[in-house]
Amino acid sequence: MEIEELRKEWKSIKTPQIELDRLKNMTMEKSHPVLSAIRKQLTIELIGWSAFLIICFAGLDADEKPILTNAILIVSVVLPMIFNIYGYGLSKELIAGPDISSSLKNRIGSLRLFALVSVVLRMILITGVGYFFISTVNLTQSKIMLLGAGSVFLIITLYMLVRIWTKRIGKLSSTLRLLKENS
Amino acid sequence: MIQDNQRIIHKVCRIYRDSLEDREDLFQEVIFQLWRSYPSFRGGSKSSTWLYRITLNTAMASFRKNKPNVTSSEYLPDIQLEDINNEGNERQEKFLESIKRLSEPDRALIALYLDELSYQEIAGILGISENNVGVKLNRIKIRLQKLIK
Repeated sequence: MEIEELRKEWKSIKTPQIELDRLKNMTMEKSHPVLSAIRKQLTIELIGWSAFLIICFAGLDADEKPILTNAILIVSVVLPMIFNIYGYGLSKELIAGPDISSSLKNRIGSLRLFALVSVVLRMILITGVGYFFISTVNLTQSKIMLLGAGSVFLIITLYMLVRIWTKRIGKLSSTLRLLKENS
Repeated sequence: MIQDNQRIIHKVCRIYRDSLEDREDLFQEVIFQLWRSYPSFRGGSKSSTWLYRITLNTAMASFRKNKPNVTSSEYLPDIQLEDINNEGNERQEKFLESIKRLSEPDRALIALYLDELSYQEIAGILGISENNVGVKLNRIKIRLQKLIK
């Protein structure tokens, strides 16, 4: 096919025409599919970790334990939650520069920092929760097994988190490299 | 502006996503990003050039939910089903599938070129030199013609 034929083919591609009302609806954050899914996940995590803290304080008498131990528990649980809210904001910022190369470069930088802090905060969470149980609960055989199972679960989620970010950042870096090739 | 230029967005979605669901998600993401970016549009470039930049940037920077399946033959066109079997549509599908076999940056370059943007405009959108645009386009045109044959 010659170039003019390719152009003709490109211009003749049939596309649907979406009405203005539907387009307007798409500009709203509440109707955004990805952001809705992230909001749902954030809400579930918030409820889950809040319930966890309530159980710790009500069921495990954490309020009767040393202040430092409680502070470590609260900080290690609350910090990742706050940072996840920052992550929600970051997921909206796809356009990060005046052209595609600089935008991708800036986006890769932001995601690298976000991924690094996310992983560090997840490690703090595992350590903080682990420390709380070890220092405040009388560990029996069954509780040690429960703690071990919980730690394994959190370590697996940490591994998956690292994998997801490595893959995402790798894909963007590869796109940028191909774009800048021969420059 | 979006309504007038939505053909551009649909075409970009066709060449950057395989499944209908992924294309719809990308279309909505693009509309959302255009809406968010509009306050920074100063009118220094043509509205279609700006729209192309945001659309292609979104297509390359966003993450798809489903795994890409470039070689799939179960490609679902988002146009009328009665067109599936006619010759023109088959040719068009082959043409689009060939573009999708290019790398993501190359798809952007060829889309801009086929829509007759100048080398200067393409370089401005992608953030590469005009010379590089020319070098890359020569290579892409040859590759695309081989893929279509």
